[in-house]
Order: sequence, then C-alpha cells, then structure tokens
Amino acid sequence: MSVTESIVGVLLFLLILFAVLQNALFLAAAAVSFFSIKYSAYPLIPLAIMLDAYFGAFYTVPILSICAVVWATGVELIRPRLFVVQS
Amino acid sequence: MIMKVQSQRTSNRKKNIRILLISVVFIALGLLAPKAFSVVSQVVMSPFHATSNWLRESNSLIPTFIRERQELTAEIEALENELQIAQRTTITRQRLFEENVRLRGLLGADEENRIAAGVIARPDTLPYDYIQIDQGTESGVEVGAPVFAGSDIVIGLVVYAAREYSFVTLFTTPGFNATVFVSGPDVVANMEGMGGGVARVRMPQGIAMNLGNLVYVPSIEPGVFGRISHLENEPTQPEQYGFISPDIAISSLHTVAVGKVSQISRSVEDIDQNILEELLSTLVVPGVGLTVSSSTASSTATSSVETETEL
Repeated sequence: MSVTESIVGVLLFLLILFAVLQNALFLAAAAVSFFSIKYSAYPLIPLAIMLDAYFGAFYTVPILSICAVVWATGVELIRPRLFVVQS
Repeated sequence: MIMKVQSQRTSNRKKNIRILLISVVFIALGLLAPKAFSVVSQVVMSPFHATSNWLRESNSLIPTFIRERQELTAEIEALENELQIAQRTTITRQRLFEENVRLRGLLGADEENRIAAGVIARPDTLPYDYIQIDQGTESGVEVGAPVFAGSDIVIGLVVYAAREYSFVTLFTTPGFNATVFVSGPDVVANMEGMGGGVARVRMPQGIAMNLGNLVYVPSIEPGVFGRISHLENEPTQPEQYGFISPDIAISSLHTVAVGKVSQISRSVEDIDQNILEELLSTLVVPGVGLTVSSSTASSTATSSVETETEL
C-alpha cells in the first residue's frame, strides 16, 4: 500500500466518523462501501464499537457494532472472490 | 503452488475468525461494562466531538460554507417539490378555466356588455374610497351598476351618473355593507367598509378563516372582491375579523369596466314581480280579453271540472 493510498484511507476513515457524527448517513454508507471494498471492513468494527459507546448504545443494544461485524464478515467473504474475478 | 494458495487461504480464514471473535468479545465486554466503555469513548472521541461541534456551530468559513450548501440543497429540493405541485395545479386550473369558458358559452353567459371607462379622479383629489370615471349616462352608465377592475374583480358601485362622468363608491367606503361569500370556510358573512381601502368581514369564533381566502360578492356575477389579507382573532372575543384589501391599489387604477345594473341579482320577489310585469306587457293586448276553458272527464267520474281563466 502506497503512502497516498494510506492517506486516502485515513481520510476516508475520518470522513465515515464525521459523517456519522453529522448524521449524514447516505454519505457514511457510501464511504463505508468504498472503504470496505478498497481497503478492509475490519477497521470499521472498532470504529462502530467506539461510536456505539459514544452514543451510549451499550446500555441497550449496540446495533452499529453488530451491523459492523455482520458487514465485515460478509464483505471479507465476498472480497477475495471479487478480486479473483477482477484479476 | 496450489498448496501455497490453499495455506494462504486457510491462514486468512483463521485471521478473519480471530478478528471476528475479538470483536464479539469486545461487544460482549461493552454490554457487561457499558459505563467503562462510555468513559473511554468520551476520552477518545473528545477531539472528534469538538471538531464535529465546530462543523455544526462555528461561524468560520468552512463550516458556514458546508452548512449553507446543505441548507441551499435542502431549499432547492423543497422548491423543486413546490414547483412540481404548482405545475400540476396550473394544469388543473387551466382545465377548469377551459371547462368554465365552455360551459359559460353553452349557457350564453358571455353576452355581457361592459363599458370601458378611464379613472379621472382618485382619492388624492376626492374623498378616500371614491373614484370618478369619464363615462356617464350618455354611454349607458347607470346608478347602481357594478364597477370591475380587470375581468372579474368587482371594486364598487356607481353612485352618481352625470351625462359625461360618474362617481363610484368602493366597497371599502366606511359604512358600506354587503353580503359576501368567503371561500375556504365556505360561509356567507357580512362585509363592511372600513375606509382607507380596507374592508372587514366578521365571523363567529371557530370558523376556520385563513389568510388568502377569496371573498366573493355573490350578488354580482362575476364578483371576486379580494383576499383575506389580515386576521384579527382574539380567543376571548366572540367574533373574529378578516380584513380585505383589494389586490389592485386605488392609486394604480387607470381604467375600469362598468357593468349593467341587471348584473346585480335581485330578490326572489323582485324577480317574480319583473316576470309578471314582462308577461303583462308582452302578452296582454289592451281591449282584448281571452277566455280559456278546459274540461276534464273520465269514464268513472260522475262530475266534471271546468276551469275558466281570464288574462
């Protein structure tokens, strides 16, 4: 991974974070999709856990974290096949 | 080579399972100790929280730009929706207008004579709510005839007609009373002139009178007077008031159209009287009497009815 790609990855990660904080959910969904396919879906799990903790979701049901785990599982299952097809 | 790929896949799968297990353990820990997670997240998220607040509330260039852009986008969306609705309404209005013209044509309602007149004096030279027009009895202007601004906005009545000029009193003249129909709540109410180009409709509390409701003068056809432009509604008072100012300012009146007195509807008794007079004048020939006799009989009836009518 090049330096540029890393910087773009970090910026995208921050964009997801701020999009969720600003309640711009469509932007967040788009950024999450792009980030998951381009990089990896696993970094989104700690982010989701952090956001759930920030919003106090652990007192009830941490929906964002559960969705992130499910999303990461799905994406990581699909991603290798996707790149095989591409190659 | 195949062995190498397979071992890489197996190691990847193991790695994935490990990550997912760790995540699930973290979520379980969070559920067990939500307070600890909240505290940690507050510390970690504090710079992001501050940045987010800055984006949301700051008057600096970038946040303002982002916010204004979002607001403008939302406004554009709302206006586009309104435009769509308005376009649909325009089509409906056009259809109704064409239907109205067609029906009026079928009923012969278009045969309406009006006299065009120029306004030669207004409230700056006359008392307020009076205008003087440059047509009089020579042109067929009659006292009591309705005066229109535009095609269907009635503004007042002719109160004096000389040979070459006439005076018109507007509906907004103080003390002028008329029965009007207010669309929207669809009620008939009394309108009184207040002076200064303003008339007032009074209604009991509880009737949903709103700004923009059209006010018609039903005794004149077509007789739109104006819209409710101001409401005075004190819940403690038994009545509410709607103030109407005509859409066209008196100072902007340049030409008007004077209708016929016959355009003003009469009471049922007046109409009956007029019909009787018309019948008498057209059907009765002086000095000649007509006797109409008719008899009705049936096979079972034993009596006959005889009617005699003399006109």
